[in-house]
Amino acid sequence: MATDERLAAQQWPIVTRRWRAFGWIAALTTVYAVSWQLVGIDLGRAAEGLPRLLDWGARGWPPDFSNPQVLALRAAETVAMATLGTTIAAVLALPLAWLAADGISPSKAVAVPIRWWFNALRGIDSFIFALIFVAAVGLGPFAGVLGIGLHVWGSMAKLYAESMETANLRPFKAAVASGANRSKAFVFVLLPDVVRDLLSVTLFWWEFNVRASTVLGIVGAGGIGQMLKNSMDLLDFPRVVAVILVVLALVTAIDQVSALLRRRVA
Amino acid sequence: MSSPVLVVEGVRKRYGAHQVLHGVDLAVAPGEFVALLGPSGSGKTTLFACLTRLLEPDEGQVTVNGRPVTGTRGRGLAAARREIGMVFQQYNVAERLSALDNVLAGRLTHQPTWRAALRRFPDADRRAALAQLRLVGLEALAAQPAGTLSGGQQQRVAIARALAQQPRVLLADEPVSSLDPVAAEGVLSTLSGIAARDRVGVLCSLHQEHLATRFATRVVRLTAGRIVNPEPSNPAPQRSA
Repeated sequence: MATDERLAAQQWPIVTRRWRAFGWIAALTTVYAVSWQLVGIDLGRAAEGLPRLLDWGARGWPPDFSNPQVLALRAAETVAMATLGTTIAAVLALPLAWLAADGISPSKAVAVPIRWWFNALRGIDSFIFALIFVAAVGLGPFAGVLGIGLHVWGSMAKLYAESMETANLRPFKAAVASGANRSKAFVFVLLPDVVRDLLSVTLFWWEFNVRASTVLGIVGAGGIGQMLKNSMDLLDFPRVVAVILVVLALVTAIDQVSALLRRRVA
Repeated sequence: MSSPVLVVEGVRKRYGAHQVLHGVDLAVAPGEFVALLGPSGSGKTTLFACLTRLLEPDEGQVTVNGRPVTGTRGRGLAAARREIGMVFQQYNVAERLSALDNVLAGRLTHQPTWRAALRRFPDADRRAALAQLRLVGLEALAAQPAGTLSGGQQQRVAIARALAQQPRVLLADEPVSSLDPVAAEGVLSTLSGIAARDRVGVLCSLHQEHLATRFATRVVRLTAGRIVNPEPSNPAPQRSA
């Protein structure tokens, strides 16, 4: 009797597990079916559009690299936007990351609202921020810098806080045990220990922001994205292809530089 | 015998249902080197953490040099902690900082935050830190990142850091258990020298009996969460009967 009960008890989880698997498959199927319906996937339209795309591609050849100094200027504008935006974000992120980091922050009461603030900033893309700032401060890269700065502030602070939390906290705790307050222990003992990780995070976001700011021009926030949008509006395909090639070259170059710098600080 | 510099009365600590410390009573006089023996799991590390309130004891009082450590917070707690130098089993030195900067970390508590932020300590502090490194035999390695030093050297940096606080009490939690025998003897003779010369009260947990009897002026045992069997040769005031 007792043996039977034990056997039944052993088999029970297997049965529930099978039902659970069916449940998952049904749920996933529903999700895909509903999504397909909502988006209105129409393979026929894709088939019609494809020749048009190829035609544009053909008309865009050869690419129009006239006025290279303008292309270069817009590309430089994009990098400048990303660099300034990242710097602003880094300067704002460091103190807040310290206040939000678990086990390091001087006060739990401030850590929680600060983390909400990070999430609010992270939830709104730099694209949306740029859209708002274009309306507020006018067209041009300045709006882009503010958009990048605000959005990346939250993302960077979150990663900064994580680097601090995963560092070796024992020397920091030792300093606290000696009667030093948490701010002194942080700036003197912990910060020098994590500064390379923070730099690496910063470079990653700089690289990310160069890619993001190629798009920001579309909302009027300057840089090479604006050129792309203007040429697209004029159906100037040779220029569109040229701009896309410049963007590809720029992003590849920045990736290389960032990877190189990150290897050096690691 | 002068009055004790560290007094521990009735300290209790439990983790959930597990009572680790059942009321620890202990006193250490200036210049004494008290070895605390006990098997692993007997609560030595918990006791040390409670003495500096890195862990909050459930009950009991701790007094250092007449200042209460328990029942105080903020500046009062910082002032009491300043009197206690800690040496840890795993050294707990900042590996990317130089040996000298690690020792200067012991001076943080005496300096304002802006000096810590700018890493500008007064010359007197730098000289004192160098003197501590000389005392533990590492003056020549002052500029080396602590992470490049051997275990025994890192532990001596940690001792120098604790001394830089100018504490009245030095707590060393298994300071030699990660070290080879030669390095261990070097560290323990440094500690006993400090007790004798600077009149600091040293409480040092160990698990090697022979090291305890060789270096300590008194040996106590932590068994089942209580201090038992104070050695009869004990010349210091002992509150528990």
